[in-house]
Amino acid sequence: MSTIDPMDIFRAEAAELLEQIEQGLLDLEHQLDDRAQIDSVFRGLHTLKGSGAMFGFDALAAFTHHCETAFDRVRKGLTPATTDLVMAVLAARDHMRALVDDPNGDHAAVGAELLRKLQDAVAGGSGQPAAAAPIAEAPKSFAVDETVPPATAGKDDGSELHRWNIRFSLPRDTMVNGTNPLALLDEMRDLGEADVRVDLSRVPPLDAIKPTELYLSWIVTLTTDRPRADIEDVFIFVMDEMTLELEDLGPVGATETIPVAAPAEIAAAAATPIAVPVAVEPIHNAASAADKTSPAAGAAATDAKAHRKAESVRVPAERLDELMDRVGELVIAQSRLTQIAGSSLDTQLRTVSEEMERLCSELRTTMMVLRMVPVGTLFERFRRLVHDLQRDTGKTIELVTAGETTEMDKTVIERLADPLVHLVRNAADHGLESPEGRRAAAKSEIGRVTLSARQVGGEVIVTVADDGRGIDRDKIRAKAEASGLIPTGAALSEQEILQLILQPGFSTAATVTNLSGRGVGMDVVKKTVESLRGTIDISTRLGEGTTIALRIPLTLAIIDGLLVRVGKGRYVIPLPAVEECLELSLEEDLRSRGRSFLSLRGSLVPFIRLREIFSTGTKPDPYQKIVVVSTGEERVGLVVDQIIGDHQTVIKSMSKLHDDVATFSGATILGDGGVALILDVANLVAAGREQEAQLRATA
Amino acid sequence: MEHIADSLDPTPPPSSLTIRDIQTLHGLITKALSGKDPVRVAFKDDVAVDLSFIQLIEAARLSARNDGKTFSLLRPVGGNVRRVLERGGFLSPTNPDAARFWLHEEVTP
Repeated sequence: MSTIDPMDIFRAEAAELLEQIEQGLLDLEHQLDDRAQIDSVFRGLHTLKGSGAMFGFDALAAFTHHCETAFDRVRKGLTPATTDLVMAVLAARDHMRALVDDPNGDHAAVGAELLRKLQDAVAGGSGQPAAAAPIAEAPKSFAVDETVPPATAGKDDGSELHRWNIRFSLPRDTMVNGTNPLALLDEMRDLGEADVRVDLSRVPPLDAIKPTELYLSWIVTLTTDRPRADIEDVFIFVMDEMTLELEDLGPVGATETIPVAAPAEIAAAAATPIAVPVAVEPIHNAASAADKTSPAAGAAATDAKAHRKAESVRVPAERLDELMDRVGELVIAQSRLTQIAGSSLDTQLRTVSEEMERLCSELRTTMMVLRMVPVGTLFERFRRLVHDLQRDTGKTIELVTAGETTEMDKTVIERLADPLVHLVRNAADHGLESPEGRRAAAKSEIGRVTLSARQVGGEVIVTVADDGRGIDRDKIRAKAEASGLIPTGAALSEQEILQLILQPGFSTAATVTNLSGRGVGMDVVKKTVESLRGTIDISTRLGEGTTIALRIPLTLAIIDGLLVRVGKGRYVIPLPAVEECLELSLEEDLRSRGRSFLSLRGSLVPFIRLREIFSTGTKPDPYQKIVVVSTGEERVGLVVDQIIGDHQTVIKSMSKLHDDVATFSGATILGDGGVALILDVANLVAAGREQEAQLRATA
Repeated sequence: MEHIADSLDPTPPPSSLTIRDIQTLHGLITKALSGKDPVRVAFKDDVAVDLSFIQLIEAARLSARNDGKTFSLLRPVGGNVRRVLERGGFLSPTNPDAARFWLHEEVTP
């Protein structure tokens, strides 16, 4: 059983926090006085700092501290949120990412420069001259420039001292997340006189405790002239998940004595750890324990039950992959069982087999759902990209997203990220016109890039569309002919011409920018999509824009397939691609030789004899079958000897030796232990297209 | 009569009494309490400490009580440990038991 490295856990959490911070900053940029976003960014920075320090990412914690302090000032109204500040923290956020990825790298110079910019942004927003701040190696002006009113302020301005009874318990994961409850208690002491008592009643015994979790809660009697909001503000980071009871006990009488706790020294314990901080010593004949007045042991069990609630659990992707492998093996075993039961007269065996089949199917469905994540998690990243592209291109770009709730396999989503980045960059850099160009074309100056996703059958179609100038097919053809990619005057359909932009090294961009235009990338997009068993559709209208649709299978691991036989071999055709099955009699087969076209409800569909492609060396069955498959707009018929039936297919990768065998996308193990190759439908459709083109050319 | 036993756990104690090392500390104390009685614990005043450790000691006290064992401190705490106890509200005058355990003090409520 694999163990989880705490560092990996932190890195995963840090990635989420950085994402949250980035989204908050991007939202804040649109509405600089959005209190909720200010708090969200602040909380994110605070948690990142705390967790970073806890896991030994000291450089990250120290750097993030400055950003947190800057946002604390914003939160307290000491500094306004400005675009400059947002930009500075966005840049700082990228640096934090680097500090997470490479904590031991040499980041000092970059960090200092970013903090200098941050300081300028804070000083600029505060109306204070930046030079007033003491800049050494790491700017600290906003850290030392705290001007929070003291706790006693307001006594002379008519505000009244109130006594509050405060009870609070924090989420169990508080300490793991880097929040220090002691700091919260200190903050409360800053508000006034606080009598703090810990409540130990929920602390379980040793054998039941999870030592990283927090079981303590507190009762505080606070005497302060601050309003309720200030007290609540102490808990801003944990407010969503904590329990807080605030009871105003009323004003304090002038002659009343205020109970004072004894928090003599509240300085942080910063001592260097020593070699032997603890010794657990068994002793004999010691005096009997003095403590007999502790809370009842039963409280812990009750508490554990009370806190048992539905929660999400972070599971490493590798474990899901392991589980998926096991489910795959189970599906294969079940398939064998079904085959054995099918040839048996034992009704009990058949019943068990059917039950197993049902359970396997349900397990598989559940497994699929576990791996699914909303595509919105991918789309969110593009807000920052488009934000930066606006700066780099000087264009005003609106990013529109749709279908964010569409779910896809997590692995697929991760692998789609880079291709989509490339497509969005292309759309922004080459697709959209300059503001002047758009004005001249009677368009809005704001260019639009739309990212959308929708599920169609067993596929998800992810689309990148722009409302820019569109792609000039003539230009593509000319370029392709000039570079020898196609023969001059070759008969190509519109889609074929557009598909040329996916060829390596192909670019019609007149200028190469740092964003795109080098002709490197679209072929990588194609490769990535094809490796996901997906296809790319391109549509464009000159002057109106371009749409590139990536059609991706929902999952990579298990598919429903149609099991067919060609000669003596068995093959699997992915079921979502199958449109219909027809019979091809021997006579028709002979008649169609040399043409290999099928008239299907008024349209001609090319068909391919798999027996010939696979060189089976066998005679065709008297009644062959044609399986018509499609990849959206295009169809092709695959001639097989026998259709065996549907088959739940666990996809096994082909070895590297077979990388150049484009006809197959993988293999699977059948119920009888035999192997069936899985047909690559996109490749076969392309082969059909070529065949059609050749026939047309020779006609 | 104290016995600095040669049966001390061979696991080297962690370098801090914080959440970073709390799993190890949990193991050490659990092992000690499951084997011997009484158990006495000592730690240096200037060690880095946080609430997770104080909470763990409170859990150990509870376990010892449940099992009828004796769990105590070799000497009163000071320094960082005491500061955490004070900041965390463990030494409230309303809880004289805590002062007895942590500070070896008898407090009259």
